[in-house]
Amino acid sequence: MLSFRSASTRMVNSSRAMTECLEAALGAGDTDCDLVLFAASIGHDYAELARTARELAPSARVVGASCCGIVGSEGVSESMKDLAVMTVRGRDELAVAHIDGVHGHNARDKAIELAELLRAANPGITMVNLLGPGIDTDNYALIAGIESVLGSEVTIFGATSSDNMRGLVNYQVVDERVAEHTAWAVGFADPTLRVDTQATHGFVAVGEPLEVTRAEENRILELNGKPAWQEYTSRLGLPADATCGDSIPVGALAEQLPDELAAEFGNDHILRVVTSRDTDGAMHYATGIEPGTKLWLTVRDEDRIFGDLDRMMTQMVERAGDRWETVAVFHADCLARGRFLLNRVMKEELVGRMQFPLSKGGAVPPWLGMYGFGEFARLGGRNTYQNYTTAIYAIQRARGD
Amino acid sequence: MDPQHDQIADLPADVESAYHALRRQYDALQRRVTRFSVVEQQLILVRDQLDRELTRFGRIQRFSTQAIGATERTDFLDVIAEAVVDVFEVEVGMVWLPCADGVPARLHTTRASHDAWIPGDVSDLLQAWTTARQDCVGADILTRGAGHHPLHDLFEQIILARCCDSQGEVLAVLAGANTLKGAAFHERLGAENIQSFAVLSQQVAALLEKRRSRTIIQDQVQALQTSQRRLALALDASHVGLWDWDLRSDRCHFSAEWKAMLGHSDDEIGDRPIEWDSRLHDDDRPFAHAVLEDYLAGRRPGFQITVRMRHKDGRWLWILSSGRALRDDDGRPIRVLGTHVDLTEQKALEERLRIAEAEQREAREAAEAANRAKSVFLANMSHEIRTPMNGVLGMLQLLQDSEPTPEQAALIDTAERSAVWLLQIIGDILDLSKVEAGKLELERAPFDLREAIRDVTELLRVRAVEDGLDLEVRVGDEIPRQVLGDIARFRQVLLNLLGNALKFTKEGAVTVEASSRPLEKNRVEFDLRVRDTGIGIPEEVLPRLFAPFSQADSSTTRQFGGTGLGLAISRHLVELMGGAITVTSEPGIGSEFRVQLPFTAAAESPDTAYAVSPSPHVDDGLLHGHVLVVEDNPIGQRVATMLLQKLGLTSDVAANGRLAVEAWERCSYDLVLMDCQMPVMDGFEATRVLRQLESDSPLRERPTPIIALTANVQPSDVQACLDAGMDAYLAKPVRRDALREAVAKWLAS
Repeated sequence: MLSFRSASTRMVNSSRAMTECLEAALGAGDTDCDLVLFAASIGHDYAELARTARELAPSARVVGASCCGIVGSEGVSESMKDLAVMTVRGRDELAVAHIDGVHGHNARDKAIELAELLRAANPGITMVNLLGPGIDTDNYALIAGIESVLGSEVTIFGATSSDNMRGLVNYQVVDERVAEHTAWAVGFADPTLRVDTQATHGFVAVGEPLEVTRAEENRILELNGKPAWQEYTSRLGLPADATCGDSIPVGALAEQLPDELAAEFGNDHILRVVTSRDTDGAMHYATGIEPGTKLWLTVRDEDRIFGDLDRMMTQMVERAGDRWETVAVFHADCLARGRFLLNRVMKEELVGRMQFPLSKGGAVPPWLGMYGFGEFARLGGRNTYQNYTTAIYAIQRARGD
Repeated sequence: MDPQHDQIADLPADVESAYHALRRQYDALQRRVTRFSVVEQQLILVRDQLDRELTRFGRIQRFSTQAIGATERTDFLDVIAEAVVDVFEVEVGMVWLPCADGVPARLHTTRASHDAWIPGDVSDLLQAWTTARQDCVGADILTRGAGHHPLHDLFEQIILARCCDSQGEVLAVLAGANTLKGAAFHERLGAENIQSFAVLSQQVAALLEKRRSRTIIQDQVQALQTSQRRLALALDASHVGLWDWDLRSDRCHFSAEWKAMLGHSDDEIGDRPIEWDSRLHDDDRPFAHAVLEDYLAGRRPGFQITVRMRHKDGRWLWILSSGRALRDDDGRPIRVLGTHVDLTEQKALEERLRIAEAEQREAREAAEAANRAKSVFLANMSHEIRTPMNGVLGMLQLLQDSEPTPEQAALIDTAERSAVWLLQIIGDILDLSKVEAGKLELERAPFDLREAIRDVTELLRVRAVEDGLDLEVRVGDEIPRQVLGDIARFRQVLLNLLGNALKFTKEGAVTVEASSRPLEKNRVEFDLRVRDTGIGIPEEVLPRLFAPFSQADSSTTRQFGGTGLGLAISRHLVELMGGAITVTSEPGIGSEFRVQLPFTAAAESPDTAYAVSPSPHVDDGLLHGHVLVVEDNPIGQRVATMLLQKLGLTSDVAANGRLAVEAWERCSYDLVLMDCQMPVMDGFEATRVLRQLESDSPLRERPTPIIALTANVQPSDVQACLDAGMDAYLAKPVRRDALREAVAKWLAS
C-alpha cells in the first residue's frame, strides 16, 4: 500500500534544500523511501539535487522536473530557488520509466515505448504520473501513445517541465541524470488508490478567432494566411520581436470545446500555450494541430478564475464523498497563473482555496505542485492536455482500505 | 462563403454598410480588449515588482537573523552570499572580505564548490573596484556593454556595494551577479534594486561589526573555557577535590572529586561546612579548627593541614587540606577556596619507607656489627695464632742454636719457613679484610723511593741467587728521591710482585725497572715494571688474576703454593694510592706486571748521618743486661727467656702486669718486654703504672725501656702501646734477629 509524504522549501543551496525537504518528509536519518519526486525552480542545481536525494535515500528512484515555482503543503513560492518534494513508499506498487529524445514529431512512438517500459515493470498500473518536456512536443501524441499500451481508462496526470517562463530550456531528472527532451512516468499499481483529476482556467475567449492556415504537427506556420508569430503578436498588440516570455501571460489561445465537454468544464474553450517560436515565425504549439483550426485570443477574468476554481473543488469534494479519502495531491499549475497573473495575496488566496477543501482537520495532505508549461487531466472521461489551468490530482484511498 | 456572410449579402445596401461599420468597430474594440490585456499584464508585472520589493526587506531581516546565529565564519559568509542570491534573485552571490587576521581573504561565493566557473581572479577585480570607490557610498550596478570593465568578462551584470563600519573602514564587499550564460533566466537588475542592495550591505556591515566584537568575546570565552577544561583535566588527573566556602552564606561547594574521595556520590553530600567538620577525626578536629581560626583571623599566612577524615566505608583517610581566603577591603575573609588531596597512600608509603629504612638501618648495623665482629675475630684469631706460633718459631730458633745435625737443621729450617709462611697468610688475610672494609688507611709521609726499591730487591736477591735467577734492577735517574706516600705499603706491593716473579720463574731472569715522568707541578707518575721469564699466565685467566684467592689454576697452588691474596691486596693498595696495576703475559714466555702510581715529590732532606746510637752492651757478640719478661703464657715466657739468654741477657718473668710492677719495684731492670693482653693487669695498664712510678721516683736515672711483645699486630695496637708509654713494639712471633736488634738498641739508649 503506497504512502506519501511531502515537504517544500525556498533555499539557495541545492544540496541543503534537498536535505531539508527529505528530512522533513521522511524524518531525520530515515532513508526508507522508494521514490522521490521533486519539482525545483530554474535557479537550482538539478544535478546537486538529484545527487543529494540519492545519497539520502539510496534505495529510492528519483524523478524531477524544472519549473517556475512550486506549491507544497507549506504554501506557494515562485522564486528562483524553490523545491518541493513528494516521497513515496511501496516499491512493489510503483514503476518508473523514462524515454529520451522526445519531440513533436516522435512523441507518440516515444510514449508507446515509455508505456511499454511501465507495463513491463508493473502490469497492474492503474494511473500514471507523467512529466513531459515543456517545449517542442505534442502532448496529445504522448497521451495517445500511452493509452495505446495501457488503455484509455488509465488516468494520466501530471505536467510539463518549464523554465521561468523564458521558454528557453526545461529539464527532466531521472535518478542522477539531468536531461532535456526526456519524459518520465511513474506508474502507480496500488489497487486501493484512485486519482481524481480536474482542471480549470477562468479565461474568456474574445474577438474573432485566428485561423490556422498552415501547420506541421505541433508547429503553426501561418495564421490567417500570415506568418504565425507576426499575426499572433499583432493581434496581441506586442511588437514582432517580443519573446514567448512576453506573450505567454497575455497570449493564451483557446480552442472551442464540444458542448458536452464545455458543460463539464464550465467553459466553452480549452486553452493552449505557445511555448516557443522559430526564427521563421513558426510557433510551437502544445499539441498537434490541423489547418483550419480556429484559435481565439483570451482575456483573464479574475472572478471566473476564483469562481471556477471553487466550483471545481466543490465538485471534487462531492465526488469523493464519504467513501474516498485524499492521501496525497499532485498539482500542476500554469506558470502564467502565478505571479504573472495574480499578486501575492491573491495567489496565496487561490492556493488556499485549492488546499482547504482537501484538508483534513486543517492539515493539508502531502502536496506536490509545480508551475509548468502544461497540465494533463481528464476531461469528459478522457485524458487531455491543457494549458493555463490549475489541475488538481487527488490521490484517494477508499476509506476502510 | 459562410452562411453568415450570405445572410449579410441579402441585407439592403445601407444595412449592409451599417453592419460592416459595426463589424469594424467591433473588431477594433476586440483589438483594444486584447491590447488592454497587454497593458493589464504590464500593470500586473509592476505590481509583482512592488510585491517583491516589499518582500525583499522581510527576506533581508530573515537572513540577518540567520547570520547572527552562524557561529563559524564560513557559515556566516554562506548566509550572506545566499542572501544576495535569494533576495535579489541573481545567479551568484559574493562576499569578499578585504582582510581577515591580516591575511587577504578569499572570495566567498554561493558557488564555492565550483571554483572552475570563475576563470579570473574576481577577488582582485573586486579589490580594484573597492579601491576606485573609496569615497563613494551605496551600491552600484555594472552592466555589460555600458563601458567595459574587467568584471564584464565574467558577468552580464553585477551589483556591488561596500560594507563599511562607522569609521568608514571597508569590512566587506558584497556583490550579486548574473553570468553571461545565466542572464537570460534572471530579471535584469535596475536602479530600483540599488537602494535595497545598499540596505543589505549596511545590514551586513552592522553584522560584521557585531561579529568582530563577538569574536573578541568568543575568543576570550573560548580561552577561558579551554583554561577551565585544562584545569578540570588536570584536577581530574591529579584527583584533587575542590571546596569553596562562602562565609557570608555559610554554604560550601564541594566538588564531585571531593565527595568521591570520601566515597560519596555527588548527591550524598550537601553544601554546609558541617559536611567537612563531621568527617574529621576527633583527635584532629581541635587542631584543624585552631589552624583555620588562626588563618581566618590573619594570624597565619596560609591554611594547610593534614588530618584524618572518615571515608564512607569507615576507613580513615589522610587528607591534605589547603586553602586561601578572599577578603574584603577591611581584610575580613568572605570566601575560602581550597583543595583536598588524599595522602593516605603516601602516608602508607612513608610508613613502609620508614620501616624499610629502619630495617635497612638494622641490617646495616648488623652488617657493621658483623664486620666488627669479623675484624675482632680476625684480630683475635691473629692473636690466638700468633701466640702459639710465637712458641713454635721461638723453639725452632732455639733448636737451630742447639747444634743439630745437618739433617735436623734442614728439618728445623723447613719447619721455620712453614711457620713464617703461615704468618704471612694470616697477615694477608688481615690486610684484605681491612681493605674490603675500607679501613685500610695509608700514611702520607716522605720516603726515599729509590731506597725502598733497593731494600726490597736486595732482600729478595738472596732468594734469586739461591734459585739461580738473575735479578736485574734498573732505576731511572729521573725518579725523585723523596716522595710523599706510604713506604710500607709500597714495599708490600713490590715485595709481592717480585716475590711472585721469583716464585713462578724457574730459569732466566727477573727484571725490576722503575722510571717516572713529570706531571703538573711537582707531581710525577711513577712507573714500575716487574718482568720475568717464568711460566706466564693463560689469557683466559688474566681477567680474574687480581680477584682474591685466585691463581692461574688450582695446579698452580699445588705447585707453587700461595693463597692468591697477594695480587688482590696489591691491586687494592695501588688503587688506594691512586694508581693502577696491569699485567701482560704470554704462557711459556713470561709476564710483566706494571704499576703506575702518582707521587708528589717531597723536598729532599739533606743527607744526615744517622745518629750514632750508644753502643749496646755488647761483648763477644753477646748483650749484657737484665730484662723483665712480662708474659702470661708459659710457652711465651720460656721462648722469651731462652732467646734473651741466647743473646746473653738475664731475665725475670712476671705473669701479669701487677706482678711486673711489683717486680719492677723490687728490682732494677735494664729493659722490659711487655705483653699486652694479660689477666689481672694488662700490659698497657702496667706500662702506665711503671711510667707513673718512674715519674714519682726522681732518683731513677732514666726510664726503663719497655718494648711491647705482643700478638696484637694492628696499627691501632701499635699506637696503643706507644700511647701507654712503651718505647718500641715487637710482634709475636718474635724473630730472634728482630729481638736482638730491638733489645740491643734500647739497651744502648
